[in-house]
Amino acid sequence: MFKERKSLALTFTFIVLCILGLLIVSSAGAANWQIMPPYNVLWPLWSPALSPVNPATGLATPLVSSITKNTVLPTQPGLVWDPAQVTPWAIYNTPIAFGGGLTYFDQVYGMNPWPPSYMLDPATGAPAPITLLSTWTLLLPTSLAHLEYYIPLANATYALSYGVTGADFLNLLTAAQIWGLPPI
Amino acid sequence: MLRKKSCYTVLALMVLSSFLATGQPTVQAQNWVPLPPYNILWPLWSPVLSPSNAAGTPTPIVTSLTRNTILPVQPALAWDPDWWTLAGPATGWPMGEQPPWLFYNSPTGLVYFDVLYGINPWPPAKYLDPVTGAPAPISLLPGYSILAPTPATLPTTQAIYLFDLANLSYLLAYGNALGVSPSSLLTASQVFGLPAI
Repeated sequence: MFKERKSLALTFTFIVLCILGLLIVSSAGAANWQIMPPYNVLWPLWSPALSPVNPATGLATPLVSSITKNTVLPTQPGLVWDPAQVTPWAIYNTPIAFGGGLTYFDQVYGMNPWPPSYMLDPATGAPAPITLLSTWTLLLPTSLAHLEYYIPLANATYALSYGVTGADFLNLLTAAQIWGLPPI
Repeated sequence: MLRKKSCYTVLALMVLSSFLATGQPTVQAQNWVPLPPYNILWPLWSPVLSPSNAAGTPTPIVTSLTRNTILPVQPALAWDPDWWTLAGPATGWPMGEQPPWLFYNSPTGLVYFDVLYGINPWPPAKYLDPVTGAPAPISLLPGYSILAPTPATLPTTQAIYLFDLANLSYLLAYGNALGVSPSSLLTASQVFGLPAI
């Protein structure tokens, strides 16, 4: 009787472990983020505006292949995430008149040139990529509740910093566009 | 017999007075009024957007909200309680507590600010018949007029962010070019009717 119950418990545990394993494997297969060289920050594959589906492959494909100081974003803001930070950063092209390059918005630190200093080797200035935990593939998309006030604030701060007004301001992506909400 | 009649009269008076007593708070509790042609709700609770007329009744500063409406003060605030069904579940807002829209004048007509969608020309596509382009008014549920005022449903911090972001976005998109003074734009406290500091 006791032996039977023990084997039943073992079988049950085995089944639960198998299901958990399957869930992890399937989640890893459909990661929500992609690593971007040279700093290993994450780019949102879940955003149709920032990672449109490539018709040839049917896969979400980032608009850019790296996020360096000199990357030029075809649409902005982009969104990059160091999972050690609570939430991602909105990232923008600095107008040529201001020296070009990328700039990013942090709610505490404001607008600053890309990358943050902790992603650079203090001695050589070479990229010091962040170390990602193996579970990064399980990270979920950023919640809309976070983006809803952060993106308009980031856009307005960027526009005020660099004199972006009128149609150029209206062309900045909204939280709804980044998240892929249907139009009203 | 006469006694019975006076009893009925007293009873009828009691019923009538109770109707009057319950009727008055209902009138006072009317917080929103639908504006043509889209039935978007206008805040009767806002002293600056619906000042009291000679009879003491709050009266909207505009009679309709179309593309060609010109707002005497801005931003105006209006609300579609049905809007939640589009994006609300993803935002985590409880139904009936989603932020309202803020409206501004622009050279191309009325525009509105939505915290998720930014600034766009009024009205949204869902208010127009897809074939004819004629207004397709919102179907309002019974009780819409007594829905709680925005200050009671939107947390203060969010309300402040909403107005600040909307005003800033409007100035960046249109206002600066039009020479709109930032100080001329209404703040959350003015629209909500909060006492001055």
